Amino acid sequence: MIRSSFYLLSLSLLCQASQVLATPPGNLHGFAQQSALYSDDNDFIGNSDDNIATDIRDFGLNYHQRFSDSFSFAGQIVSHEAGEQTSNNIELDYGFIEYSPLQKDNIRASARLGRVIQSYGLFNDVRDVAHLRPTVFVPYSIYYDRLRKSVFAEDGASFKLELIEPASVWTSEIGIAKPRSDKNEIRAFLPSQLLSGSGDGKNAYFFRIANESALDYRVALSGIYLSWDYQGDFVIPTGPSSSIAIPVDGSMAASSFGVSLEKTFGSFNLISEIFRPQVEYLDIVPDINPNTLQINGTQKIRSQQLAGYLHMNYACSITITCFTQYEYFKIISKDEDLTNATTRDIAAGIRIFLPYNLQFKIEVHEVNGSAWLGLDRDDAVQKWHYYASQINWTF
Amino acid sequence: MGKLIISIFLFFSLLGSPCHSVSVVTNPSVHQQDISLLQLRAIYTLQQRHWPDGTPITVFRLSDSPQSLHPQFCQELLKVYPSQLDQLWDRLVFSGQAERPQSFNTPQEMLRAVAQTPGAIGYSDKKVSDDQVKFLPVKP
Repeated sequence: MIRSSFYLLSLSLLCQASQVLATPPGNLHGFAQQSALYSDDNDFIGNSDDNIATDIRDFGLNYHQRFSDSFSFAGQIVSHEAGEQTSNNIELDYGFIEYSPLQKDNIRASARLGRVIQSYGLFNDVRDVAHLRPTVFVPYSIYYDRLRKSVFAEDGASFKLELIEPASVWTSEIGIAKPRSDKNEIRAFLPSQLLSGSGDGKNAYFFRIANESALDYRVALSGIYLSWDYQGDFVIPTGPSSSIAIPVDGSMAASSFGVSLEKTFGSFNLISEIFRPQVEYLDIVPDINPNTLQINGTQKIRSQQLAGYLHMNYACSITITCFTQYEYFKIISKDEDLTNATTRDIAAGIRIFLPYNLQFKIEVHEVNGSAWLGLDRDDAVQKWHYYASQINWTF
Repeated sequence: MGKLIISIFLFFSLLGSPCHSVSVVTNPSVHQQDISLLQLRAIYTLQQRHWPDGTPITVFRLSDSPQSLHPQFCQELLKVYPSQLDQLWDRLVFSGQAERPQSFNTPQEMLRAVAQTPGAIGYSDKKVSDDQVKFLPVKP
C-alpha cells in the first residue's frame, strides 16, 4: 500500500513535470493500471482462488526524444506486479537508439540498438500498457506471460524496412538479441519444481512481416526464439530432512510463430491470432528409476502447442465497447505425461472509455482446462471461472 | 452466456451520436486540391509522413473536450470513433515509434498553427472561412 502510494505520488509529480518538459523535441508519457481478479477455482494470478486478488498492477513512464531527422531515443521504465511470482521493482522495460537513414514518401528504413522491443504478434510491442489491450490480460497462450520480460524486449539490435503504398504499409522487422535471465521468470519456466539453479541467456531471434491499412486492417506473420543455458541441481527428497542433489547442465528454449489479423468493419472490430508455441528442455531433468533412484542419463522434454483466439468487439457508443472472446490452447505433442492438455476460455466483457484518459474493463471468463497454469499443476480443477476488472490511465 | 452477450450488444447498439460538418484544412504550401479518405486516414494514423512532393507532414488535432470538433472529425471524416484513433496513436507512442500529433484547445489556435507551419494539416468547422489556410474537400 505504501509502495503503491509512493508510485502514484511519483507519477502525479512526473505528470505535472511533463507539462513543463513536454516541449519539443522530448515527450514524456505514462500509464498505470490496477486490476482485481476472482477465480472460483485455481489460483490464476496471485491468491485468487475464492479470494479477490488485487496484487496486479503496473506503472510505467515512457520517454521519446528526437535528436535529428535520423536519430531518436525511446525508452520506458515499468513496475510490474502480477501476484507473488513477480517482483514489482522499477526496471528498464526498453530503451534504444533508433537510426533512420532512409525516409522517403514511399520507403523508410531504420535500425535500433539497445534494449529493443521484439516484434511478435499484434500486442507484444505494447503488452505492458493495459490501455491498449482489448482485454484485462494479453492472451496467455500466445504471449508467454510467465516469460513477460524475456518475450517483450532484449538487449540487441533490430532492423525495420517499411514500404508505403497508397492503401497500406508493408513492414518487415528482424532482430537478434541476448535473452534476459530473470530469476523469477527462469524459475517459473522450469519443467520441475525440484530444480534449483540459474539460467544464462543464449540467443534471441525474432521477425515480423506485416501489412497494415490504417484503421481498417492489419495482418502479420511473426516468430520468436529464445534460449538459455541452465546449470543447477535436481534435488530429490529422500526423507523428511534428507535429499539427493544431482548436478544438471543443460539448456532450454521457447519459440513460437504464427499469424495475426485485425479487421475493422465500421463499429465492429475482429482480432484473431493463431500461433504454434514450443518449449524444449535438454539435459535439465535426469532420467531416474523411481524405485532404485538409479540415474539413466538425462531427458529431452519437448512440448509443441497450438494456441489461438478470436476476439470480437462492438463500439456500442463513443465511449462503450462490448466484447466477446474465445481462446483455445492445446498441447499437441509431448515427451512426458501432462494433464489437462487442452484449455478453452469463453469470455465476455465491457470496456468503457472515461474522461481524463481513464478506461475501465470488466469481464467474465468460463474456462475448461488448466493447461496455461503451468506444466506441473496436476492439482488444477478442470472447469472454472474467473472474473476480472481493471481501471487504467495514460497520459 | 450467449444470451447475455447478445443482450449487451443490442442494448448499446441503440445509442447514437449527433452529426456535424467538419472540413480538412492545410497550409497553403500543400499542392493537393483534394484528399481521399484513404490518404486522410494514412496521414492521421502517421503512416504517411510526407506529401507527394516530399514536404514533411505536420499533423494537428483538437483536444478531447466534449465541445471539441475532434469527435466529429473522427466519426464524420475518418469514419472511426475517437477512441480507435487514440488507441492507434498510443500504440505508436508506447512502442517507441512516433509521437502523438500536437493538440490545441481551440479551433482558432489550430488554424493559426496550420497557417504558420509548412506542410501542416488540421480540420475546422465547415462554416468557418479563413484566407490563411487551404480547405481540402474529402473524396469518398
